[in-house]
Amino acid sequence: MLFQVGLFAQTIPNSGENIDYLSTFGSDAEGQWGDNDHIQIVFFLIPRDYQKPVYIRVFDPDCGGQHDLLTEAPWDTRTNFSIYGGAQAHSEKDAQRHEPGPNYRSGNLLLSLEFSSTTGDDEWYTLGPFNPAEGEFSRELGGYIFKVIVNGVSGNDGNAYKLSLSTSKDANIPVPGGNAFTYNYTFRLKVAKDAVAHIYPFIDDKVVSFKQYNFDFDNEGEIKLYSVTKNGHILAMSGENELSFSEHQVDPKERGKSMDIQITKSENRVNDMTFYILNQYNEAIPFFAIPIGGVPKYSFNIDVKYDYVNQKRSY
Amino acid sequence: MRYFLVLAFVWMCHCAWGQEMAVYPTSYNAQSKAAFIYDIHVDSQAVAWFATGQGLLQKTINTDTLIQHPQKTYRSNFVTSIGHTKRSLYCGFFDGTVYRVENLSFSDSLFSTHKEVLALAAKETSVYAATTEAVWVYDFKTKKPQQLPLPSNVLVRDLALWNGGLYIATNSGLFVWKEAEAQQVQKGNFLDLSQNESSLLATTYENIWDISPSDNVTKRCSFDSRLAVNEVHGICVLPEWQQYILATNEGLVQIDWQGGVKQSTTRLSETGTAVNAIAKSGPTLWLGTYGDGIWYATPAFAPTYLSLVSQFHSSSNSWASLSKTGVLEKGTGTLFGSAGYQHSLPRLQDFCFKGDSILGIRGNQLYVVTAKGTGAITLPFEPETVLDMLAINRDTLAISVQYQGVYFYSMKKRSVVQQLTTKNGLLHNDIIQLLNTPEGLFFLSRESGISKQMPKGDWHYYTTANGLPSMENTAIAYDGKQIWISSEGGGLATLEDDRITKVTLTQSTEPEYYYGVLAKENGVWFYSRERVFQIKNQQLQSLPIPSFARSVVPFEGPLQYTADNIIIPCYTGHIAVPLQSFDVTNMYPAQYNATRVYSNLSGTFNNGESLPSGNHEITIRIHKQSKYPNHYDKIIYQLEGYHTQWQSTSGAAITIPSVRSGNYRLLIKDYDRTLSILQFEVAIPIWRRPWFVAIALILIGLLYVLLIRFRTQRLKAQNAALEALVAERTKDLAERNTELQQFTYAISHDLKNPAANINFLVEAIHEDFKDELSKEVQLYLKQLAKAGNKLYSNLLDLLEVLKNVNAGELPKENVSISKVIEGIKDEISSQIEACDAKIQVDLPHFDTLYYNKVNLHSVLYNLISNGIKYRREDTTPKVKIQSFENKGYLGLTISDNGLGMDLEANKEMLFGLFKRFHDHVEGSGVGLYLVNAVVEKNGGRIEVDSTVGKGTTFTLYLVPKTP
Repeated sequence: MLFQVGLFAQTIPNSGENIDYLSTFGSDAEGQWGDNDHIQIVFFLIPRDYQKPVYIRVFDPDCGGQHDLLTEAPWDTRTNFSIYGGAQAHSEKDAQRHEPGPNYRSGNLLLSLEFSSTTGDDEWYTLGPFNPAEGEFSRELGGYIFKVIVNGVSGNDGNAYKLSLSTSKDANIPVPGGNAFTYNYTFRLKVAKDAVAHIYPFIDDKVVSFKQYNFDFDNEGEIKLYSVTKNGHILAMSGENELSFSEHQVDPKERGKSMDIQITKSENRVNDMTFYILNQYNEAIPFFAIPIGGVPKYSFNIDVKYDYVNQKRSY
Repeated sequence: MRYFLVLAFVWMCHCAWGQEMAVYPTSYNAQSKAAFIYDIHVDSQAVAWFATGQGLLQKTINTDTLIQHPQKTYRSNFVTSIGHTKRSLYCGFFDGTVYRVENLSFSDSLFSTHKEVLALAAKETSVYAATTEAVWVYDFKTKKPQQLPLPSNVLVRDLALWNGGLYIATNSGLFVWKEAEAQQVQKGNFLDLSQNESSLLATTYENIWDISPSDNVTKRCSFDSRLAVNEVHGICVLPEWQQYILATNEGLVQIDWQGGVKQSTTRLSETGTAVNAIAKSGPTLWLGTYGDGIWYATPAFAPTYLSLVSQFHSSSNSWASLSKTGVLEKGTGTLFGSAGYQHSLPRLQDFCFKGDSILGIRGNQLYVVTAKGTGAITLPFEPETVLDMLAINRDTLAISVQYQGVYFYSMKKRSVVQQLTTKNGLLHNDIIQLLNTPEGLFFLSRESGISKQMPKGDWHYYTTANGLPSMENTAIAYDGKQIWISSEGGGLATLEDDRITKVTLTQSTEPEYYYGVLAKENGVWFYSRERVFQIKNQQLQSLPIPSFARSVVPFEGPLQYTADNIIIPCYTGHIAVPLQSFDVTNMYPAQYNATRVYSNLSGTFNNGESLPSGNHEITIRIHKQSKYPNHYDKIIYQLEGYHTQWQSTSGAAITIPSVRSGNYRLLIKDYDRTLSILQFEVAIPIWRRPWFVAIALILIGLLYVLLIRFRTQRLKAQNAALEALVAERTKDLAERNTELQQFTYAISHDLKNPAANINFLVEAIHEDFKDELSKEVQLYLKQLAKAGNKLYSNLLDLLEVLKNVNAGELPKENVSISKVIEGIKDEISSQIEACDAKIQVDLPHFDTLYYNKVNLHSVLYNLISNGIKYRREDTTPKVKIQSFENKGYLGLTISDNGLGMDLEANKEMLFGLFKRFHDHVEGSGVGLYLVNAVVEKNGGRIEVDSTVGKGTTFTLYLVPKTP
């Protein structure tokens, strides 16, 4: 039972992603630490029929003590967590961009809290409750959407944390049918050699091709793409403080499904990186914490591998 | 280490001292969006307005009215804030629109802030609306909204109009908008603004601030950040209980007036529902929750429960308590305000004051505790159970030990200088309390009275023999003038100049069981199971002990005190009763009466009177007989027969909008006392009185009987007319039928002879002119003879049918079936022999049948002969006759192995007249018609089962069984 709850909890990063923490650095931190914009925007989706209070919980919201990354003593990073709902919270295009546009703080600000290095170390901190109907209603996604903006206001250290949507203030109890997604994912990979992280972009019907961008992977391992027609295509990977990308065509069979991008580490060290995907219109594609359609499992009859770095095909 | 212990003790006290307030859900608790409450406003008519997720809810005593936005979209449903003036009510919505409420509906939108309206404030000339990012003002003259300039990047949390200024709480400070300019009056991260009667209260994460009319901001109290409060949605001040009640995301938080020490979180449910709004209306606290609807609470007198304090002693200027873990704390002044010093000691059996030091005893160790530290003296004896100890003077300590009397120990000599027992003066060896007065040393025994040793050593005793009201005394106390004695069964008594006087409490109606007493120069306090009493300035007041505390009292013994509390010992700790609680106006129940009922329908009526029937709007005026000012908001009332719940009132008049017939009783609840102060009856309307109902029922019954009788007679007449008509038509029909039968019979009979003659004449022609006739004519004659025979045969059959069908009721008799069959076998013997047919008779159930013999013969003849006649050429014909008996009938089955019939194709014509299925054999098609007609005429029926090429079975249900 616990396994079930853990598996489907609306926590980001989710256990199915095998990623430990989201990572947001203070505004003074340099890009070499893996965060290109010091902002993480996460959306939580609540089904339209759910009418009980919900909570947004943050694990280790402070920047100090355990889990967080000290770049230069002392701990000096302040991190702001703001919750938005109401009109335009999600539908505003600036909020859906891989680089937040000028109006990314759209919607009604419901709660704003700032953490330094003193409160909330190594523990879950609960924000809310919130009335689900205070989110922005999305007919396409069939529910109300809350936007959480995490901003490294000052300092140069890295705040590692998790976000979770819950029906309880004291534990992570998932909202039935809820989900979490983001358009620009800055996270900390597991500190373990050969650990494989998964991220699950959802390819909708209008995606013809997409470009994957990753920032500051430090060339540590490899990044592969799996889908119903792609079996481990090697994607371009980035070096230190570097943004790399590769473009891929979408097979019609891949539409309406989630892909599985697997990031394999080759070293046993801390590595924070940023990932986002743009479609042919340069619109960001969302990563869902709980992949739509479930965690992808593929079987292949014909296997074509394409190394986009070296421009080679292999069979 | 010491500092840690102090902190630990204080924190433990935090946990233990919190007393949760009882809260109750209202009926408006639907599992819907309306369960989210955003704001509450109570107007001057005590009508409560709630901003909910479904709209604006108006809640009166007995009605809930939900006012919804005309558009009813999910965003416009949210009313997130309420603002008001004396005349108008305004609502702010989640989508930023602001509306005026008129006639229980929303008027046109005044303006829009485009963001959720967090807070509204209104005055006659303008309305102010706060969103997280800005404050808007709408001027009724210009009818235009505009933003007020605020410092950049501030987050607005709340606003309030007070003292001529607009106060704005933000995350970067408290601002006041006066004279077209925003001025910061206090830095800080402010969460909420709440108006009090005399001040404006502002809340930050850890403090409550008081804003004076001159904009001086002072900290009223602090509360613990460990409560994890990150949202405050309102404060209510309860001056009578010296508490702040905060509505927070963690539930209700109660904070002691001084703050920082007494605080507890009242959770509305196990999951800890957030309280999003709070408002006080009379004695009721309205609570708006986030997801769990509307709740309310009625705060009551709430003494502090010191569950961790095992012993408490006080002297004239200080107090000391011992925790259950052995931490001794000495303090002066208030209970929670100023602790002097703490020591961690073994858990003492008892302790007492000796000047500024404290003497405690455990085992044979006497601990001397001073501000500088603790020392221990070994006693020359080891008392098992110390009942009391008292420093008699600078040198001598009296220690009362169970069953051993009282030891007098000299501190200088370090030895026991005297032991008093029953052998040398005491009334009993169990002395539960020692009391030193200028008159002498008093020894109180539990059940043997009081012994007094005077300074010269003489003894004096006080028992029931010399006026003590009871021998079961619980405590004694000295007020500097006289001794006060509390007892079980004897109440309270005083002892002065050796004269015992029982104190009569005229206002008390309780049994006089008092379990402890405290006497000081300025007052006397004592308590029973139910109440704590105070006698001060020759005036008696009392407080009800809350139900939660009644389970732990009484614990006999003297009361203790601090500068601000009376301390009552109880089984599991102590209860601290704030002295100020007695000063609450009119705390002791006053006398109430209400002698008259004022009705808008019929005028004025006296108590117990009956009001005429009708729909009354009544007003009852309550008269409170008390020398204190009339604070009616301290009482609640219920008009029994009309209300199902207690109601609050803010004045002396109660108006009930709609009262119909019935008996009513006005109940007043004054704290925990319920008084019935008025009764009246609204007469039952005449049409609801029993005699009227009875007469009406009788009349209706009579009318019904008459109606039934009339209808019966009319039906009878109609029936008779119909019967006559039927009889007449039946007669006519019978006559016509008879005529038809006669006609048919006559034709058949009259045709029979000519038909026979045709055969005869043809035969005659053939015989007489045989040689003269050509072959062709002979052939025609042969055909003619054949046709004539056929005609004759058909006429005979037709006559047979007519004879049977029209024969009427034929006589029945017991007919032997086997004999009838034997007769038939004889009649058709030639057919039988011709084909060697086998006829098998099996009559296991019966052989005799009550039937018309001719009919039975006809039926069996036809079926048996058919069975042989329509045989298969390749098979020896077999006919089997069996009897059977089932629930309904006696019957026979006649089965053969003949040609069989296609029943599917010929079902409809099976029993038709002149219908035939096989043409290769001579036949008229009358037989089965006749069989069916006969059987049905005798009340039976026939079932046929037949397969072509296999045979046929006729099941004859001949004689119905009479039930």
